[in-house]
Parts: sequence; C-alpha cells; structure tokens
Amino acid sequence: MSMMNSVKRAGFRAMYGYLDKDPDANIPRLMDWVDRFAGNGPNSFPDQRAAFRKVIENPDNNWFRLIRSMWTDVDDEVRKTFFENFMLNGNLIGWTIQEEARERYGCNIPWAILLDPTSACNLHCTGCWAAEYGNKLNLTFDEIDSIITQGKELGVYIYIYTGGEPMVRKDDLIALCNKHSDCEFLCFTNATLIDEDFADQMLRVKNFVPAISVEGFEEATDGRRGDGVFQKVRRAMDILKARKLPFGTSCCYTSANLDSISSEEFVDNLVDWGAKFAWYFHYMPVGNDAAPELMPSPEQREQMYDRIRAYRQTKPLFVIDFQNDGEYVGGCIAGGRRYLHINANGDVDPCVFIHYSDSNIREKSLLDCLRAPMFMAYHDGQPFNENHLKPCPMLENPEKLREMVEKTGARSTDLQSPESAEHLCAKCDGYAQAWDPTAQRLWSCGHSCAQCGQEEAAAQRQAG
Amino acid sequence: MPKSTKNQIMSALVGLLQTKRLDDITVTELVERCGISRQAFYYHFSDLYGVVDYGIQQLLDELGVTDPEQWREPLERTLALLRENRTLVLNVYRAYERSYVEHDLRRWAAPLVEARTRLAARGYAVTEDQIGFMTELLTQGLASTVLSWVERGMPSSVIERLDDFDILVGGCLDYTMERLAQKNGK
Repeated sequence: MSMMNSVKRAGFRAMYGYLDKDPDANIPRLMDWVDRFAGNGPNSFPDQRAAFRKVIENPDNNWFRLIRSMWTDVDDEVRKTFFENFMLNGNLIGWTIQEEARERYGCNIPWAILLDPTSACNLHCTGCWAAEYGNKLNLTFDEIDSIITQGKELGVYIYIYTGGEPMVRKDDLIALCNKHSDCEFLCFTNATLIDEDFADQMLRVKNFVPAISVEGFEEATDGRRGDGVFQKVRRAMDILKARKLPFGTSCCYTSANLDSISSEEFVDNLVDWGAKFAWYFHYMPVGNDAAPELMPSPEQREQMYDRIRAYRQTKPLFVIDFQNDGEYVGGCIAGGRRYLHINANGDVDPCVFIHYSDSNIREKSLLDCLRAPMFMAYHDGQPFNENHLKPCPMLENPEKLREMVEKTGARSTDLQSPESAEHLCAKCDGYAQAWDPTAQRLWSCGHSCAQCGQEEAAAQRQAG
Repeated sequence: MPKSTKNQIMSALVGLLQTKRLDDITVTELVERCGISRQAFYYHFSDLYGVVDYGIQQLLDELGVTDPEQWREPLERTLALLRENRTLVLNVYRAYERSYVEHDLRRWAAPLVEARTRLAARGYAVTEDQIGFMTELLTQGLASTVLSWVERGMPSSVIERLDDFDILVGGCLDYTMERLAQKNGK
C-alpha cells in the first residue's frame, strides 16, 4: 500500500473511533475532519462543504438523523465494516488506485461492478429484464471470485449483484463475502429468499447489504411480482431490522406507478420499514417485449425530479433517482466510467440496461474488456450530453447508442430474444424529443442558479 | 452439518501442517484433501488463518478454566499439548506474524491469569481497575514467556520450571494485593 493510503487509513480509523465513541457529540464535528482533509484548493468544494456543515450541525436535520440512525439501527460490527469497506476501501483508497489505472491504461476504470450470479429467479415478474436471459445461466463461484480479484487490483471494492435473483445462490454469495472481506457487497433482490438463517449469515460476514425491490404498496407489488410477495418482503425487512442489518430499496418508476411510488406516504413508509436508502430507476423500454407506454411523460419525470429533491432535504433516507441525478456524477456512469455489468453468461455489458457488448469475461481479462472497442466508445463519448438531465446514450440520446453499436460491431447479449440497437433506440426517439424542452428548462434554471451562487460566493471571497 | 465441515477442514489442515509450513499450503490443495469445493471452504472461512483461528478457539474452549485454585493444571496441559504437536505449532508459527501469535497467546492466557488474580484478591479491598491492571501485566508476562519458549523450540525444561513460575506469580500477587489494599485504605 502506498504511503498516502496508509495515512488515509490511519486518519480514517481515528475519525471513525472518534465518531463511534460519542456519535451525538461528534457527528456535528465530522465536517472539521472533512475540511482538514479537503484543504482550500480549487476542487475542494468550499461552498458545498459549508452548506453541508450547516445541515449536519442541526440535530433535527434529515441528514443528521440518517447518519445518527447508523448508530441506533445498525449492528456495531456491521457499521464498522461498512465504514471500512465502503467508505475507506471503496472510496478513499479505491479511488486512488482507480485513478492511477485510468491514467496508466487510458480507459474507464469502474468504481463498482454489477454482476449477475445467475439468470434464475424464483419469481416471474412482468417486464423484468432477468426473464429475458432465460433461467439457466450461472457465473461459477470461481468466475465471480476471479472478477473480484481482478477488480481489486484496479481499485474496485464495491460489487453489486443483479440478476436473476442473486439469492438463488445464497451460499456462494456468503462465501464470496467471506473470502473478500475487504469489499462491500450490495444485492438487488426480491427479498423473498431472505430468511432467519440467511440473515444470521449476513450478520456473520458483515459486508452484505440488500436493495429490496418494491413496486409501491401491496397491490402494486403483488400485481407485478405475484400474490403474497409484498407480505414476504415486509417479513424480510422485519427479519433484517431485528438483527440491525442495514438495507435499502430499489423502485422502478413507470407512467403507471409513478404517482404512488414517489408519494410522500410511500417514502415515509420506507423510512418506517427501516430502509436507509431508496434507489429509483426510470422504466427503460429494453427488450423486444417492452412496453414503451410505461415510460413516464415529461410532466411525470419533472414531478419525480421535484419530489426526489424535496425528499433529500427532508427525509432521513438516502434517495437517488438514477435518471435525474446525473448532475452529481457528471452524466452517464456506465461503460465502466463508474460501473459496468456482467451478465450470467459472462458478457460484459456497459450498463444493466444496455445489452450490447463485444467482450466476455470468460475470454478476456477485466482490463481487456474495459479496453475493448465498445467500452472505449463509451470512454470517448462521455458525457453523452452536456445537460446531465439527458445522460443516457439510449433514452435521451438514442442516436449515440446506434452510432456506438454500429461503429464497434457490438452484438446483442440478450440470449432469449436479441434486439437490434435500431429497434431499441427507435422506441426512445419520441421520448427523447418530448423530454428535451423540459430538460433544457430544468437544467438552465437549476444549473444557472447554482452558477449564480458560485459566482456570488466567488465575488464575496474576492471582496473579503 | 456446517460444524462438521469446519472440523473436517481443520483436521485436513492439521494433517498438512505435519509436513508443510502454513504459508506453503493453498486452499485448493486443502479442499482437494477434504473432497469439498472452494466455495464450501470460503462459506466457512475467509482464509487459512481463519482455520487456524478456529482451531485455537476450539482448543481454548476445551482448556477453559473451571477452578482458579487449579490454574496450573490447564497451563501445564497447554504447554504439553503444544509440545506434543511441535511440528504443527512451528509450521504455523513460522508463517505467522509475531503480533498475531502474541494476540492468540494473550487470548489464551488472559482468563487463566484473571482467575488466578481474582483468587489472590479475595479478602482484600482492591478495585476492579487494579485487578484489571494486574491481570494485564501478568498476561503479557506469561504470553511473552510462552512465545520465547516456542521460539527456542519448546524445551521440556520450561515445563519443569512451572513450579517456580507458580511460586513467583503467587508471591507477587499476594504482596501486591496487600500493598494495594493498604494504599486504598489510606
């Protein structure tokens, strides 16, 4: 480990020890430590830090309450492991290694790797991409182990299971957590296979966090996922909560469920159920059987934009909308820029939603996949739009995906029913056109306001 | 069921350690010897050190102190056991960082010493803090003595000298408790 990383590790552990000793008194002082580390350079986000300091010093603030709940609601050892694996290895230490690799290899190096241990699922939900892969494909324990081992060499400490239902491979997942005890594992799951025994194993390995899929309330969830699923999900949440295991939720919003799934009542319920984060995903018309009419209208997407931003300022829950929050991550994060997706057949896809690839992990090293034409096309093309409310090369910029697939010769990795890029992108043309004016208005307003703020602050600094 | 897999893995490792150092053994050869998959190994253990740790824990559970008056007996038994398994112990020890071995030894010695210290403290007005301090000091003493004994290849003469050690610790504790009680009384 480099000298700098040793220093970071020691500093981080000291900070954690300090927080752990007396969270009530020391959470508000967290920013002293951050300020010391950030320095006063041009990229040290002074205004953002000042804003965050203001909220974190107020015990009634939602962010204070969320951080505080890590001490009241989460097992001591699990919390310590999360700080160590996610915050320290996954970000502080991992980032340095990733940056070095980006520089050295001139390609994208991800922050997280998403992978499907299996295409099998115990449920059969309408519109799930997992169903498209069929039910019989698996990455073996040794293959996943190798992906993680290669990933760590590039600085990747965060692994996110998708599927299929990853929990179909429970024992392998626990074994991988155990073997790679310095990584943090997240898992998209329908939660119906989380039982007492599995939760005990989670408590033993300490580095596994589920993101439970919910469609809304009981009727909506059971409507898509099957009768009785909602009650099973609630039971799983209770099992996790009883053991002080942290979890979050994953919600797909469509033109049909958007109003209820983004309602304040629903979000308050998520908090009551014990969720610490909620990830919202825009419905994507992927697959030959997709239903494009489920894509939200511009008005609906704007409503989502407003609501999520409001919740972030009021609810003790880490809420993200992956389609509308591009401004925080510089647009599209796929194609290995911050993440990539490996399906249960070993195909290395740029994104969980974009199943076009020219690489398979069974044939190439992870690094070679990142340097293959399709990932390099992402690398060279990102950001796909200067307006980060239009981040995606498929949904908001369908001509970009057409172009990349054409140029690189990437093939569809959908094994059930291969869809041409043209067929997929054609479903997005109308959507992209319709969303454009709203995106422009929101971006220029939201963005120039932030700009004004910065200019004002800069002027003040100069005057002062 | 899982417990038996764990024990099976441990026994196989004990077998391999008769002829090889811990750092020359791979998980792959261990699981082949057990006839289980790598996945099954990693379900239970993070690495080979985890197996050693589990073995030590099993041993500690077996050696648990029941009667503080008899503290010498488990002490003697441990040293004899280590000596009987000399090759295995050295094959683990030489692959380990010294700090890990020290940690394990302290973990083993602490309950023994604590029981002995509490016995000596009976009838004296000494605080929990003072008992803790004495326990810590003597634990370190005992652990380092055992460690250097292992390093020297575990000669039998040390076991024979346990009588003297017992007298030393006993005398030291009695005298200290008396002085501490006097100090506390003032």
